[in-house]
This record gives sequence, structure tokens and C-alpha cells, in this order.
Amino acid sequence: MVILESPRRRWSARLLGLCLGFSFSAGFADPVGVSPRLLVNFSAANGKIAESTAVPVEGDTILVVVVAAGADFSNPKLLQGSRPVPAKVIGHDPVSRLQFLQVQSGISPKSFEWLGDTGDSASASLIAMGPGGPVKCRTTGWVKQVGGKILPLALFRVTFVGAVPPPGTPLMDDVGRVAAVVFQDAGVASTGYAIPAEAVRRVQRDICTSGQLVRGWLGLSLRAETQSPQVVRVLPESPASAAGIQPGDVLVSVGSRQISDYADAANAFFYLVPGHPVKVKLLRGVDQLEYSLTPTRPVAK
Amino acid sequence: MKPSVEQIGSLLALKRHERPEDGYWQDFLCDFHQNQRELAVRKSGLMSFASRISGWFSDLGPSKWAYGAGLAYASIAAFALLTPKEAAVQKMAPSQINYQVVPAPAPPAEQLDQLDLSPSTQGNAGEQVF
Repeated sequence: MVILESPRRRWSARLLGLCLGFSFSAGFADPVGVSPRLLVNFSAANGKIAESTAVPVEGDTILVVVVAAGADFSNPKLLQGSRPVPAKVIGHDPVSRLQFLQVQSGISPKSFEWLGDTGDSASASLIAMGPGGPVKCRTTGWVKQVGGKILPLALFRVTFVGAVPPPGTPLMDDVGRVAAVVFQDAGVASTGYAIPAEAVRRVQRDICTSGQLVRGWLGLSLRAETQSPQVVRVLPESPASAAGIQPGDVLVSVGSRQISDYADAANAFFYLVPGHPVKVKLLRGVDQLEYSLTPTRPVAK
Repeated sequence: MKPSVEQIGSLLALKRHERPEDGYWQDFLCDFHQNQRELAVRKSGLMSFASRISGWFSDLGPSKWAYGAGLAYASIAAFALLTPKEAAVQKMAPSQINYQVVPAPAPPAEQLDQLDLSPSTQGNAGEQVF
């Protein structure tokens, strides 16, 4: 133990500690140089303001933000700290409630690296870059349905050390890549839901090119109340029909996603891109079959 | 064929030379004593219980006859009450057991079109086309 006897040494030690503390907090609280953080305010019901965090998703000008439930997504107000920043809405996806903004001028946040495959992040220790600094959190599995209602895409269940940060807050892995963004509070203490980075990139792909999310269509139907992912019907002149899929076949996997129930299938179908072939494994009786299907744009109902 | 006297004599001579293995008698004696001890313990448990019962009855004095009569009455009453009446048993018609397995109703499940997790959000039930 070093005993600091003279006042000069004490002041030197204090200065050194201050410098170390500053560099440590700067390194963790702001690893990508976005400081102060970007906020987006939406008008909500009863004249309230719904606040979300905006995260650079591509380059340094395209931001993604989660629109709170019930908020008016048509008129977002981007702020850096308290300073308004001009931004243009690229598009809004009502399914995932993700909105993409193009920063017009005034700021140049550094871009984030986003995880491509987030399958391994379902049980991982992450760091939420919240408004008060980094907060430790842990993903504790997938959320496929809430209250008997099956989600169009599966979310992460996340437990935070402390309060759940605002929607849009990025959750980063140990090397600083975005694994998910906070979706909303789960209503249980310190637990929230988060959208996987893969889903954000999937929505961004369509919104930033065509302005709307277009999910790949295979032309097969399943029943939501049936736990087994069994094909109920195959629509004529569909990719599934052309490949030879039959009613009664049970889905085993779609692409790299294993299917164990209906909710898994719904989640896997969310990621289908029209024109991009996908391998579909099925069980027919005791035979396992594998098809390569090319989803198309959905036909009118 | 009966064995001859010589054969019997040689057999007896062989038997006289037959000896158990070393330590056989020692083991036999140990097992014997062990069995004796276990038997004694078992007997003493039962005997002590019986002696305690008989001692309790003898300590009751003249009232033991009243206790005995009460016990006998209770035994007869219990037998009379618990024995099913033959007429009632005969009246019961044989019923056929139905082992038909009825599947549990599927839990209500709806497919949400959007990630709106509020409790009032309505989803779509039934067949969903992908």
C-alpha cells in the first residue's frame, strides 16, 4: 500500500485517478462516439411524448428507432441532447414498429456494427447503452407469444440490472456489436423485450430500398391454434405447390431456423426474402424431405 | 445292481478321508451364532410386546372384563357395518368402461399481424397463409 504523505503527491494521485476515471467512463459509456445520445420524440395519446433512442444502422446517416405503441409515427422529432436535428423519414414498418430516419445535417454519428446472425444471443450477457450510461443485461431466451397471441417475429426476453432503458436502446455484445435493440418494457420488474439485430437488418433492407417490408411468400398455410407446425393447405400455383409440399407435411426447419411449433414457423417466415431461395426440411410420415423453395412476393388474398 | 461289500468298504474308507476346507468350521460357527443372536432379538421384541400387553390387562383388575366386552362389541359392530350386503352387491349391474381418449381442446391462440403487445390487441385465429 502506498502512503501519500506530501500534499503534492496526493494531488498528483487525484489527478491521475480523475484521468483514469474519465477515460474508463468515456470508453464504456460512449464506445462509438455518439454523445450526447440521439433521441426521437413521438406524439402519444393524451398529449404525451413517447421517447425512443435512435441508433445508426447504416453508415452514419441512417438511424433506426422503435416507435412506441400508440404513438404517432408520422411526425418524429430527432434530437441530439436537446438540440433538434433535421431528419427525413425513410419508412416505417407497422409489423415491427421500426422506423428509419435519414439524418439531413448537423450530426455525424459513428456507425455501429450489427450482428448478422443473432441466434446465439438468446442467452448472452450484453450491455445496454442507456441514457444514464452502460447497463448490464442478459437475454434469457426467445419470446414467441404473449398472452396466447403469437408474435409475427420472435423477440428476446432481457433482464436488466436496474430499470428497463427506453425503446431503441442498443444492446451490445462484449466486442461492441449491436445484438438487439430494446423494444418495450415487459411489465415485470427489470424485464423487457428486445428486437434481434437480424430482424432490424431484415426490415431495413426492404424499408430503405422500397419503403415497405415485403415478406417472402411460399403459399402454404398452418393453423395458429395447432402446436404442431403441420401444413394444413398448399395454395395452387405457389412455390410450395410447385416444389411438391403436401398437406399434412410437418415443418422441421426453414433455412437455418429449427421449427418446433407454429410460433417458430411464423418467426422463420418473417425473414423470408422474395427471390432468395431457402431450404425447407419437412417430415412426411417417417420420411424426411428437403426442398429448396424460392419465395415470391405475396399474392393478393 | 447292489454294491458289493468291498465297494462299500472302499467308499467308507474314502469318506473317512474326506475333510472340509480349512476354516469351514470356524465360518459355520460364526454363522450359527449370528443366526442365534438374530432369532433371540426377534423373539425378545415380540415377547416383550406380548408381555407388556398382558401386564397392562392384568393391571386393570376387575375392569378388564368390561374392556374386553367393549372391544368385542366394537369388533362385531365394525364387522357388521363394513361387510357389504349380498343383495346390494348382486343388484349392481356391470357397467362397461369407456376408454375412449378425448383430445384436450387446443388452447386459444391468435396470430398477431403487428408487434403490438397490449392486452387489447386482436389477432387472427385459424388458418394463416405464409
